[in-house]
Amino acid sequence: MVDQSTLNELVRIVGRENVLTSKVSLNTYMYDASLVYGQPEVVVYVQNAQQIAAIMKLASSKKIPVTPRGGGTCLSGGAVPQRGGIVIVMTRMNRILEIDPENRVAVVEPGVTNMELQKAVAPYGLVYMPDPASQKVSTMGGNLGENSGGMRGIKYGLTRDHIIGMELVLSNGEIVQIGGKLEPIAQELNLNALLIGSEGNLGIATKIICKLTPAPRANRTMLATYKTLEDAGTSVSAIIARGIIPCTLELMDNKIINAVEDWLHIGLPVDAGAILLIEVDGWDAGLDRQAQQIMEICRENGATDVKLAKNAKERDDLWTARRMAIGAIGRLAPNYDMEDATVPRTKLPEILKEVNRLSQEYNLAIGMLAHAGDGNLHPLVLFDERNKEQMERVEKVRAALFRKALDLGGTLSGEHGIGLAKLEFVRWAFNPEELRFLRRVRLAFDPSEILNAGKTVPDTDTAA
Amino acid sequence: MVKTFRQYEEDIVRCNRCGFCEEVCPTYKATGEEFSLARGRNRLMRQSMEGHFDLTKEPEINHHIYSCLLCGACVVTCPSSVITDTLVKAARAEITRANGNPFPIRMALRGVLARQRRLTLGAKALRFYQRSGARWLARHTGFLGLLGSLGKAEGLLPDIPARTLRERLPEVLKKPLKPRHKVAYFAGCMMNNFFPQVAESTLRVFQENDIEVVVPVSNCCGIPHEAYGETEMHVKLAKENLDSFKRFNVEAVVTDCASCAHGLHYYAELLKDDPEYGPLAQEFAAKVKEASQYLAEVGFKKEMGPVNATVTYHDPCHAVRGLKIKNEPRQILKSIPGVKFVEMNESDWCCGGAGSYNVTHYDLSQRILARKMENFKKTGAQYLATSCPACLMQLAHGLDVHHLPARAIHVMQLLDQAYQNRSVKSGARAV
Amino acid sequence: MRQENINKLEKILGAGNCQIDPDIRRQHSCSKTALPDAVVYPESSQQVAEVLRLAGEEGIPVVPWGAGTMACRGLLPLAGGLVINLTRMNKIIEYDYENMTAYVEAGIPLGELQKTLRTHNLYWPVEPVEPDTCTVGGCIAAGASGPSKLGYGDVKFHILGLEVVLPTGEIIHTGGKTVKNVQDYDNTRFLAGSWGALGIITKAMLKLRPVPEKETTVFLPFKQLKEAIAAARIIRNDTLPVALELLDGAAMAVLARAGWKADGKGPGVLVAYNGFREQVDTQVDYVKKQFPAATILEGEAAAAAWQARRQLFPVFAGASGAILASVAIPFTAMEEFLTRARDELKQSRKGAALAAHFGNGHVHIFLDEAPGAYAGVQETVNRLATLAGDLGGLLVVDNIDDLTLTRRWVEARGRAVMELLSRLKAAFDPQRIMAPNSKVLAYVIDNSRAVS
Repeated sequence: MVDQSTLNELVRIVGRENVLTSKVSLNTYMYDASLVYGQPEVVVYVQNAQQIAAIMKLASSKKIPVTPRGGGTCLSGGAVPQRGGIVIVMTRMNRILEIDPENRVAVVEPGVTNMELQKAVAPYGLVYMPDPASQKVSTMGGNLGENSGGMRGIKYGLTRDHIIGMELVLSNGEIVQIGGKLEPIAQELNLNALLIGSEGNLGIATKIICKLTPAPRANRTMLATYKTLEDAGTSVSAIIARGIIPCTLELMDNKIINAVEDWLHIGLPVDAGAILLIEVDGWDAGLDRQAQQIMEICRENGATDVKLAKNAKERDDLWTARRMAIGAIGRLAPNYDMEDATVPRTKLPEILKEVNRLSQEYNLAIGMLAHAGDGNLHPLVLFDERNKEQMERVEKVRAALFRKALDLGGTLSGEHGIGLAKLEFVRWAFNPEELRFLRRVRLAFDPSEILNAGKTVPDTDTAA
Repeated sequence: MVKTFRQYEEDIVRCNRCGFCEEVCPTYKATGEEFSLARGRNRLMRQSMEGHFDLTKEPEINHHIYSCLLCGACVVTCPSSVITDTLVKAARAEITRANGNPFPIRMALRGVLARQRRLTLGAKALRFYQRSGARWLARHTGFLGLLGSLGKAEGLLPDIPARTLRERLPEVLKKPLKPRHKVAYFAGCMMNNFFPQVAESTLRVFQENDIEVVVPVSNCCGIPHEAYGETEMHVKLAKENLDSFKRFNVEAVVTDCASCAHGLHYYAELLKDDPEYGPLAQEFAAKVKEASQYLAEVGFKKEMGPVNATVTYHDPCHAVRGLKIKNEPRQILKSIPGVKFVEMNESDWCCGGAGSYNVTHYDLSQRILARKMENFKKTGAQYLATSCPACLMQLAHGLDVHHLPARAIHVMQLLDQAYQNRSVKSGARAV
Repeated sequence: MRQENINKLEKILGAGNCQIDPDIRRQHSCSKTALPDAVVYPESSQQVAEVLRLAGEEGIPVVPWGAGTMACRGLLPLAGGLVINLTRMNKIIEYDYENMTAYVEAGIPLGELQKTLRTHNLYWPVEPVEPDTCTVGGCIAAGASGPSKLGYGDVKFHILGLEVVLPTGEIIHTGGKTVKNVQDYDNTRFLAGSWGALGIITKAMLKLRPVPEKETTVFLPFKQLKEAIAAARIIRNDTLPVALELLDGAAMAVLARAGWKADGKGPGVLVAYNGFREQVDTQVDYVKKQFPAATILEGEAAAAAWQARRQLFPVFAGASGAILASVAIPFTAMEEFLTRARDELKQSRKGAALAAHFGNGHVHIFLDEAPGAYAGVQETVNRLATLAGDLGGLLVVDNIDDLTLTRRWVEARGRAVMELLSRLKAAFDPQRIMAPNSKVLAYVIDNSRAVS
């Protein structure tokens, strides 16, 4: 698909040193953070929207698949060029273009990492609210494409609530402005909404307009210990039913507790069924009362112990288990797979039970982490990539997990996206009519279907 | 014996490709390239191990393996604790075993660095080059431009003093009247030849603190050799140094070069399976201390004169991650009256010096250095202190190239000045 | 519309659910003369689908309708075609208060819904102009919002999923029940504010909020507009109001006629705080300290003030009607815009009032001229539009048929946007039957369809 004349044109657009075709360099662009692989035909580094536009015009005319890539930290294959073609590396478009504190808006290039933006706006007493776990390395373009979530999601919303506009390169190479810095007043279709979470299928964002929020003034942090996962789950529901919406409500199961304790020896309760990390924030006034209410609720619902942090150091200590959870699990086996099936909050205990059952049935160690407040589960399945038989069992666990999540009224993915990793399961979530409709929407943006071709919406058996 | 590349299979498969190393890998931050990232290098090493490439026959893989700073930041951050720096070294050893190093590198490692007299001769030749007008000619006739990275790196050289440390030892070494401790000082290659005045400060400081210092004959600590996969040479140097130092009955082996300190400490691991040198290496390694580390342990005199300046500290990779030394140099700096200590953002990020990296990869090392200079600028400090001569050279170059009105300095130099300022009544002299 | 089609409709829906009476048709139009040919009242999504399939086959334009409280803000007059009234589809299918969701049919009136929700201390934080009679579907299609959009955002922040009948007759589901959900493109939010141009929303999964522990409103009277603006700025920068409204003197006078009279005659600022009582009290105390003249409104007094605020434009417009222009401005330009707009309006000698959702950077300008006589104020409006543009903002006129200003704004996004919108329209509505008079796409596609 990528012939010599295409290569020559790419060289003309970005310069020879920014076009890579060697076996070795292509090899390092075959993966992201998921388990999917795909080999590109050429890798291109870009510096600005005009270059991307020229590349898209070329790719469109020749129907060459294009995969935009930021940090390549996607967990669903969003940055993997499964159909070959061109990988466009956005990492060098990494400037923060504007911070407007009183208007509470920032404009960034897509290669800026989430954390870089956080750090840049913090001195103004502002926060960019979405805080995906990958925030130190995931780029804003990727956050936009996947509608990234994070721990603060339950209280403050997701990426779609905080990106209000963008400059976009369409698949035919046209550059357009979507949304804007102002709150909308004209009667227009909300293209911004459609683009966030569209997994790079509908266009490539080259400038991103972000909404900033005043930083909460204070917080209170608690760690509650439970004998069973169910008790922890009921506490979660009870806290929220009381009208308290914490900014952090993280669940960790016995496996995670033990993995962290084995590694760091910080005095975690190794017999506990679960621990809940809870944080409330806002004006300092009233936080003590909220914290007291939460602690009461936890105790009423079976907590054997509840700790409240009295200062920044204690808060840091309470956070350790959560912060180190993935690292602790990562030490136990060569590989781990982190899913993000999501269920309505009250169904969390049920799906946690199911995961435990699957773990035993398929003989795989699974540590459980969850953004309990919004039912967003993160089972960490341990395995060894080299063991093909074990991989088959991992696949069976994934399928069973998705089946159960859908049965409970949930979704295949709360934050990581469908990409390639869950493509086969999308047919369980949508009927053929719905899939055809989604494909029509995609084709309206990208008639040649070259942007992240083959991802998110199946393009076989779904003739639009 | 250290493990060979293939023996690291269980370690290399631990990478889950999460990409968290992107936050801290300086070469990735400077380039945005996957193969200039720990994860990308792991990928290439793993693909080689699994037979998709021949590690020893791929110039591109060789290039990426050698563009690693070995700073170790990725290892600390990795959720799976993948030991990428060790893997890279093992890969280099594998490549060197198969192909040998290019002639100039081989010459430098075996012919010069491993022969202290020749090294000193070379230094003196460089001094001549600097003072004779040859340097002026080279710089102004564009001759340096013909030498690629080496030519660019020429600007890194400090003005080489007339005498090495060893040559100055007779004037410098003075046994204290009532010594509390006795240590052996390891004179590293760079300290001895390029920064003898720093080493002098260190010796004066130790002697001021009633520590008797002996300076055994020594050869290169072997860190450069390890970095180029010259395992045999590395082991040979280790044994040579061990043989030399075992003749002295001392409490500690102290050095003011963080790289050497880490390298000497590593002898225990390097020789742990050696029947003859194993136990000696263990004993030796247990005694190895970086200078500020040793002073913090045994205590140092607090009666000092003021050094009125704002000071910040750059953590050498070999200190902060190699030896887990972070507080001790800061402790010393903060104890000097008149010093206003400010913490630098990303103080533990590699400066891009990385031994000879700034010579072989001048352009990339300067981009990495630029980030360090940006961070330094924000401190407003007058002194950029550190505890490694390789960092010292790189940082001094950075201050120069970026026209920053500050000075790169070794912690021991500031402490030395503080002690000297005790006798100055007022208006303490700057160092 | 041909009689045979009316017969087919009656067959699908039952005779009582297909109306051709002129009065009913007039109630479902945005003009006294351009009326739909019929109004139908489906009772299920399947019926809606069948109606749309028929409309597609016969080329009959279709306009969805709820209670009609906002319809004419978003629709142009249309002669002929079919109006689909969703109000008979008005059930709450599932009220899952533990998960804070409600799955409802689109025709349910908001007032009734909120009453049920409150039985478990929850509510749906969406504020259309008519919060009792507006339907959920109408709220969503119109992108409804009120003063509380400052604290909570408009309707799109409060929907998790939809059931939509596409003009092709396909019944599709978007989103789901969970807050975190990325398994499809976000058609849910895309359809919010689409004013019926792409399909008919038949059911919605609503995201609910707990009723706040305390709600307090503060009213601040001022003598000068400049003071009011300065105060509003401080309040927005230093506290977290859920609503922050600024009304000029003229608007305050209308507010009195609308049912809530303040002391004094100058401009005023209305602020709402919600949440836990200590949080509310902290902020209210702060405002009182900064502005001692502030008065606190709670309970019925507060309700009356906000009710009057909602009725501001209808009361201003009265029987003869008035022109409503809306402006979006960067927050930092609010002061300049408001003061210069006020001057401009004074010079124009037209009756006018200004009411701003101050924290959102939105200003509503009421002009005392019937929409039919727009030419009388066009020059003034153009000058205000230029002012807004110069300050980095936008002005649109909400209730006239001329969409020039909006079209210019959208075209400025890039020529490819118009083409893209056209292709998206085709993806949803290949037969182009769906609300061709919907303003949101009327300037993009040819909307001259009218079939009798």
